[in-house]
Amino acid sequence: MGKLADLVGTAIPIQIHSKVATGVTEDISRTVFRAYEPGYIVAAGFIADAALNGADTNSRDIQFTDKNSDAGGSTSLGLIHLTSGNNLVAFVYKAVVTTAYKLAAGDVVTFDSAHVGSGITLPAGTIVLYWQPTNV
Amino acid sequence: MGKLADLVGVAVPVICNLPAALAKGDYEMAVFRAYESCRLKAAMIVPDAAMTGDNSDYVTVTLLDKGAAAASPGTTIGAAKAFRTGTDLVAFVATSLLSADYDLDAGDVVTLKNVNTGSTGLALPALSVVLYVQPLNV
Repeated sequence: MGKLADLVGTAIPIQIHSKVATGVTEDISRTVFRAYEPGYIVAAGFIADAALNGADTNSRDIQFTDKNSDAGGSTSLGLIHLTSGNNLVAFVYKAVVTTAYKLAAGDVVTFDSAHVGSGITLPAGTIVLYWQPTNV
Repeated sequence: MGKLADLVGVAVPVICNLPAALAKGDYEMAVFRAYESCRLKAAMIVPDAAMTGDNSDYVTVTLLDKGAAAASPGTTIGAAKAFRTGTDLVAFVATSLLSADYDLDAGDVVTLKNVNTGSTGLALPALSVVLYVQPLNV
């Protein structure tokens, strides 16, 4: 049987719909990927199903985190502060990870959404990752 | 960095699970974004539960190409599927939405739109959108 490593040099799309909006003050951390073999998340982001207007005081952060294979990791792959002027447009991709990030076999990646201040609601939407296997 | 184009000739399955909708619960949800130009070889929905079509109260499900800037309403991919009498969803059985290849540009976003017709509409079960994506060597 072939291995993912046979696909070296490809970026495989992974799409996970969040199904529900978050509450205003709700924080979530959801597993969205586990690396079977070493490789890179070359890009990742979020496509909201509805608009969100960023705000400076009561706001929300979204990021992707490498939890490693033992849940002990906390390295951010990319983080966005949804502050004033940094909005989400319905059905437009919002890039969160813009630099390729290397994962080891077994690493788990989470999508995290955390309120700031009194918070704002994150609309439902699709979490998108692009995974590129390596042969190392 | 390599490109999806390296996979020319391979149709990569991409699956996005969507929640159930109540009757009259219209929605539009993003299900895919093309990293690079690619060809949809097939597209289907696979429900987690059955739904019986009805001529008076039904839902119409459409796959839309929104481009990279949320085109409204977007371009229909394949054909809209209206679940009138005799057109049902069977749990865990695929219903095709696409009968011919459809090409996407890099950055294009694909959504699934659910629109109710009639006084009560229909409840659409939770479902998986299954796309088979073939990279283009362009």
